[in-house]
Amino acid sequence: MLWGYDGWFWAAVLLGALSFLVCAVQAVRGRRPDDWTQGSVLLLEAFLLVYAVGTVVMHVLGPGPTGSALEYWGYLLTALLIPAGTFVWSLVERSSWSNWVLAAAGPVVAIMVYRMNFIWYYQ
Amino acid sequence: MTHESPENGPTRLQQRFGPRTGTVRSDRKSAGFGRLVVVVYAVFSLSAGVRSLYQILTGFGTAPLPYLLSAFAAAVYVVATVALARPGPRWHRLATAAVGVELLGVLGVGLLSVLVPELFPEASVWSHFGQDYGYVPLVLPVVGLAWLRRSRPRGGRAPA
Repeated sequence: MLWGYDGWFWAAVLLGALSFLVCAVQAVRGRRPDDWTQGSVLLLEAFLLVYAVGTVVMHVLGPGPTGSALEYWGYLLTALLIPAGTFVWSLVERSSWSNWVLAAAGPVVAIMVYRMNFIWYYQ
Repeated sequence: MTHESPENGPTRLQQRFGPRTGTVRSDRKSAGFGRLVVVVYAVFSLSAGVRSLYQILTGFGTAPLPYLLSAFAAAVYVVATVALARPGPRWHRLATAAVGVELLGVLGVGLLSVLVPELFPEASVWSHFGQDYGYVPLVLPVVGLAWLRRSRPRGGRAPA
């Protein structure tokens, strides 16, 4: 726990920031989505899948969230849709605007994990 | 805006998962920057929809007005998302109507929540002009209307 948030949160912030930077730089350069930008959101998706498995394990072994489990899972399922959705989008729209769409996934995922951290520990 | 492949990075993911032929039918409204607008609306449809569903399922009795307004807001976002993504002048008109309702909603509900706060014991998407969502609900319809104006269909009517 660093400044009140756990390793999951900081990992999400790191991955989200990296993904945002890669996608934003490529978008500013006018590039179309490529393996770097599309791969960065797939990495976010993989992280969220591990996060979901971790959540199930922590539910089974521990007391679960202090806040509403329903709300927590609502956030988690929504978060899981976001990188996947932007990836599908970038397959269809082949312009540099798609890199901005991909860039949005990182910060959104970090905010969702922040909300889940809050529900888990403090609500 | 679109650059050809030499300056682009490897696209193995695109080749593996991308569509095989052609492009999806769309018009000016839903291409380029419009894609970004559609995505932001889709994210809001999803988050407002999930949140209002959760609110209505868990505590409808405590605050029926804000929860109903949240559900209405979610429905408006869904209509706007679909209309923005579809081609043609009719979808353009529907998108303009939905985004207009959204602007009136966020202004009306925002004002009401400031003037008559006792009506809003719980927050809705639009209360306090979308404060809970970083005021994006207030900015979004303005951006949306500006974009719809720029991308209005040509032909039929002469451009103003």
